Formats: sequence, structure tokens, C-alpha cells
Amino acid sequence: MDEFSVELHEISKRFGQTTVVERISLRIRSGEFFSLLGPSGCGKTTTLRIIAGFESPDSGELLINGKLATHTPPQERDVNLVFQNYALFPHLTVEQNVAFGLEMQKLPRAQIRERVGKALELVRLSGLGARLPHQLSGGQQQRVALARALVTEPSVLLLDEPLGALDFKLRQEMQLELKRLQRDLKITFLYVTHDQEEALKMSDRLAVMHQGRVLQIGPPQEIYERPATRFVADFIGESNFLEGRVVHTAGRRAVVQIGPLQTNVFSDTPLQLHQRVTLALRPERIQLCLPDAGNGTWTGLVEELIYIGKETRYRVRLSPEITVTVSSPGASNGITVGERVGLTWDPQSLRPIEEYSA
Amino acid sequence: MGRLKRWADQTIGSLLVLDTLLTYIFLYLPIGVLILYSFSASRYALVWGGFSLDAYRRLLTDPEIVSALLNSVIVATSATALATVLGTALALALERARIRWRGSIEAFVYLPIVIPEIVMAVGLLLFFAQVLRPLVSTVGLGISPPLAVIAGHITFSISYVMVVVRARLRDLDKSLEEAALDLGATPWQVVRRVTLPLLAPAIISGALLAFTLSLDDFYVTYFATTGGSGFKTLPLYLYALQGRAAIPPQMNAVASLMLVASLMLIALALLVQRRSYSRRA
Ligand SMILES: Nc1ncnc2c1ncn2[C@@H]1O[C@H](COP(=O)(O)OP(=O)(O)OP(=O)(O)O)[C@@H](O)[C@H]1O
Ligand SMILES: [Mg+2]
Repeated sequence: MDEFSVELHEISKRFGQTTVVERISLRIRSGEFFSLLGPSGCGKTTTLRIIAGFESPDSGELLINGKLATHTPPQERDVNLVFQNYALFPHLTVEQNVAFGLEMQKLPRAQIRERVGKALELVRLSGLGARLPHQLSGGQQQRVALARALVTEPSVLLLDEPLGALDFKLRQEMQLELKRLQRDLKITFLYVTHDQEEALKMSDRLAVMHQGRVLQIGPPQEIYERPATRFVADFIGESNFLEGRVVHTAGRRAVVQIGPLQTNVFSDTPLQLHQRVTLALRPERIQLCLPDAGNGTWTGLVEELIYIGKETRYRVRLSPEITVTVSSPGASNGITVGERVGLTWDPQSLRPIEEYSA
Repeated sequence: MGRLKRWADQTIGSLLVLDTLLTYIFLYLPIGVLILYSFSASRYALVWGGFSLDAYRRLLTDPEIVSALLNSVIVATSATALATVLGTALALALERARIRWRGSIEAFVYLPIVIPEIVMAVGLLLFFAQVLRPLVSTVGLGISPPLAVIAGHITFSISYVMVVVRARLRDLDKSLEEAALDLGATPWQVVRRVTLPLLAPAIISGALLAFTLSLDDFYVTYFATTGGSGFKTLPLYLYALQGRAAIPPQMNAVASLMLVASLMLIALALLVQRRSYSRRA
């Protein structure tokens, strides 16, 4: 088995004047659950369509299982696509839909029957084989689409927001099922979504896309804990952004002045003295403490407080120019609007990020 | 003020009703009279002679009518078959293939629908007489009158089939064909296994439309058979009857039957399309 199932080298695609995919490079490992995550219109579907063979890139190279496939016709690529709208054949029954790919491979009847049965079992649709697609619920249609794409055992499955049309509960269930399927079948999944929670939960690695470019690639924890750019820090989860200047350095540690406030920052690449820097700090990584506790804590005024069940969100004003959002689990423990509170955090949670000009 | 307005509204309302009524009378009275007179016992088509089924009975025994009916059915069936195949192929080519000069080809295909039929008929006559016959005769063959009529009917039917099929093709979700390709089908298998089955309702209604138009056609048939070949379809037969001093009542019966047949075909075409749309939704 090749180390990589799909490799994109500097792939670009323009539609008319607009560049929809701009010099994307990705290496997706065999058996990996890899997600493409990005806001609507950032070029996710276009990237998948290039890999499936429905669009040909203007430049760059595509390799599938180590073989050059940039201009291979779609029917000859060992990848199957689960379409955003499922694209089930409306004139064929569930069984006939699933059998389609096998019939194209001219397998013997008996074998087709057996594998279709297994595939339907796998997606828990046994017994619905004789129905037409329009007689199924959205979730069932989604699973037919999955079975149809899986039954030919492609080495890569491309999934274009396959759960986008499902309600919240069903979505959660299907996320687990997809993950289970992928683990059992050991097929490479390239999964497109604009739901960051879904991407974090399911992926081995993910790539964050924005305006046709890949901003960061890495495992979920790395993307979440060490976002490289402001866009990633903001799109994945939520971040407070603090802009300041480096006033002291000592190896990996630096002291950053933000308005009237100072804080310690640890960074992988040493910061330069007097350098301007943007720091990202996640609301849930800030703890409330007693005001004026010193010791590197900050003190501010609670301006707004919203209780949303699993957590309470506070907006705290630290200076006339600086406010931060804090979220802490559970109810507010008696803290009220207008109260003075202290803020503290693990210095590792404060990340210096690159400015990304969007 | 309010009363005046109400009065005006009422008057306009009544006028509209009257207008609708007159339109319907104008449209359907002649047809009603035709059907009524087809049941006349008179020996003359234009005279009422009491109720009878004589005219219809005579249809079955009059060899001229039987032969015209047979000709009509043969012409319509063969023209429809060929026009449906060609029209569907044309629709697929225009909508799915990458072709040059798409715009001009489209314009030419729509032309037979918009140009006056008489122009088309005269054009065909000239083409047959001056181009096709001499060409075919150089290889020692001839074009029989039925063949000329069928060829003529095909030329105008193609456009109608194409328009109907193409409308449906435009609505067809492209991702279905992509899904088939993705699952390993060759482009030809995609057409056979996915595109054509999904187009079936449109193809059938296109064919029914072509059949109706062919049954009904006069100009093209008339000009394609000039030269006194004696080959007559039902419309030509009716036209010839009309030239006689005393028009026999079969004319009304034939016309009534053609009307019923056309209505039934069109209703069928609509039904096929309606059903396919409701299933898709
Ligand atoms: N065939 C096309 N012609 C012109 N522009 C296109 C075409 N396909 C896509 N685009 C444009 O390319 C951009 C990226 O589209 P794409 O479908 O890849 O986005 P996406 O990331 O999948 O978005 P979504 O999350 O909404 O599905 C969009 O701005 C879209 O309008
Ligand atoms: Mg998309």
C-alpha cells in the first residue's frame, strides 16, 4: 500500500476571472480520516470535484495511490464521491442503486447480490432494498448514498458534507457511524464540512481552507490549540484577540504589553523585542478569580453575562479599549453584571498568531 | 364614490364573463357543429338530415378512406419513430456534448417551428424535385411518394421532439450523471442507464406530439406528393372531397375521428409528463 492515497501538488482552478482553488497542496495518508474544513464558498466542493475528476485543474498535479491522475477520466479513478445532495438514481430501487457500481465492473449476478446485501447491512438498511429513493427519509437516503459509494471498495471515499441535510440528533448518530465504518473498512476518507465541531470530532487530520487556500494542516488538537493564523483561531472554536508589543524577551518567554496590561507569552519561535504581536486566547481557557489578586492576573468589570445551559459567558472590560469574552462551565455562581472579577489562565493557552490578511 | 366603483367593477366583471363566453363559442361552436353533422343522415355533408350512424358505417366500407387511414398511420408511425430517435439525439448533443457553433445549430433546429409551414413545404418540394430525386436516381433508385412524405414529416417533427426532450434534460440534475461516471460507467453507459430512463417521459410525450402533428399535416404532405401520385393521407383525402360538387357526409365523420384521436394523444402526452413530474417532487 502506498503511504499516501491522494496527493495534491500546487493545484489551482479558476472559473472565469475568479480563482476558486489556489495552489493547494495536500498529502492524505492511506487509511486516514482527513477533513477539509472551511466556510461556504471557500472551494471545498471544487477541490473534491478535482480529485473525483469532474473538474480539471488549471495547473498542478494530482496523484491517486501514487499514480499521476491529473487527467484520468472519472470512471477510471479508484475514488468514489458521496454527493452533497446524495444524487441517488430516482428510477432505480435502493438495491439497484447500490448494485450500479458493481454492474459496471461486470461482476457475476450472485456476487453482486451478495455484496449489495452486505453493504445494505453495513449501513443498517436491510429490508428497504426494494424501495425507491423518494420513499426514504433523508437519513436513509444518505445511507444509501454511502452504501452505493462503499460497495465497490474504492481506496478513497470522498464525502461532500454528507450530513449537511440532517437534523442535529441524526447528525450526531451518523458521525459516530461514519467513524465506525471508516475504522472497520480502513478506507481513506476525505471528508468535507463547514462544521468545525464535526471536523474536530471525526478527523485524524484536517486542513482549514479559506478563499481557495489551505491555511493550516494538522491533527485536531494542534489546529485547536495552536492555530497559526487569526482566521483559523477565529473559525475553529472562538478566540479573543489581543494586540500588543513585545517589551521583554528571555528565550521562548516574552513579556507583551497590551494597552495598560502586561502578560507572559511562550512561543515556539522566539519573538523579537519591540515586535508587534497578536495574541489569541480562547474564552474557555480563562478562569475567573478574585479581583486584584496580582501575580499576573488581570482585573476587569463584568459588562454582560449570558447563561446558555452548559456554560455561562461573560464579557469583561479590562480597560477602555480592551474587552475579553470568558466562558466557564455551569451557572454563574453568584457573579453579577457590574461586579469586579479577576482573570487568570495558563500562559501556554495564550498563542501568538500570524496576521493573515483576508 | 364607493357605489360608482362597485358598479364599475360589476360591469367590468360581467363584460369579462361575456368575453370569455364569446371566445369559447367562437372556438368550439364549429367543432360542435362538425361533430353534430357527422351524425347526420343526409347524403350531403352540409345538410342536416336527422340522426344516424351512416357516415361512420360508410367509413369502414369506403376503400378510399380505408387506404387513406392506413397511409396516415404508416406515415405517422415511421416519421415518429425516426424523428424521436433523431430529436432525442439532437437534444443530448446540444445539451451535453461540447460542440462548436451551438448557437447557430440551435437556431436552425428551432426554425421549422417558427417559419410558416407553407414555406417549409415549398422548400421541401423544391429540394425533393431538384436535389434529392436527381441524386438518388443517379444510383438507379427512386423516392416513392410515401417515402417523400415521411421524410418531410421527419424534418418538422425533429424540432418538436427536440424541444420537449431538451426542456426535461435541462431540469435533470447533472450530479446523477456524474454519480454514474463516478461509479465506473462509461459515458455511453451513463446515457443508456441513467439519462435515457430519466428522459423517458419527455421522449414519450415528444413522440406523441410528433405523431399528432404528422396525422394532422396537410401542407408538407400535399407538396411532397405533387405530381399526381395519388398517394393520400386523411387530410389530403378530406381536401379532395371538399373539391367535389356534393360533399359526402363521411368528411364530417373522418374529421370528428381525427379530432378525437388528436385530443386523446395530446391528453396522453400531458398525462405522461404530469405523472413523471409529480413522482420527481
Ligand atoms: N462551475 C462554476 N462556475 C463558476 N463559479 C463556480 C463554479 N463552481 C463553483 N464556483 C464558485 O467557486 C467558489 C467555490 O465553490 P465551492 O462549491 O467549491 O465552495 P464550497 O466550499 O464547497 O462551498 P459550500 O460550503 O457552500 O458548499 C464559489 O464562490 C462558487 O461560486
Ligand atoms: Mg460545497
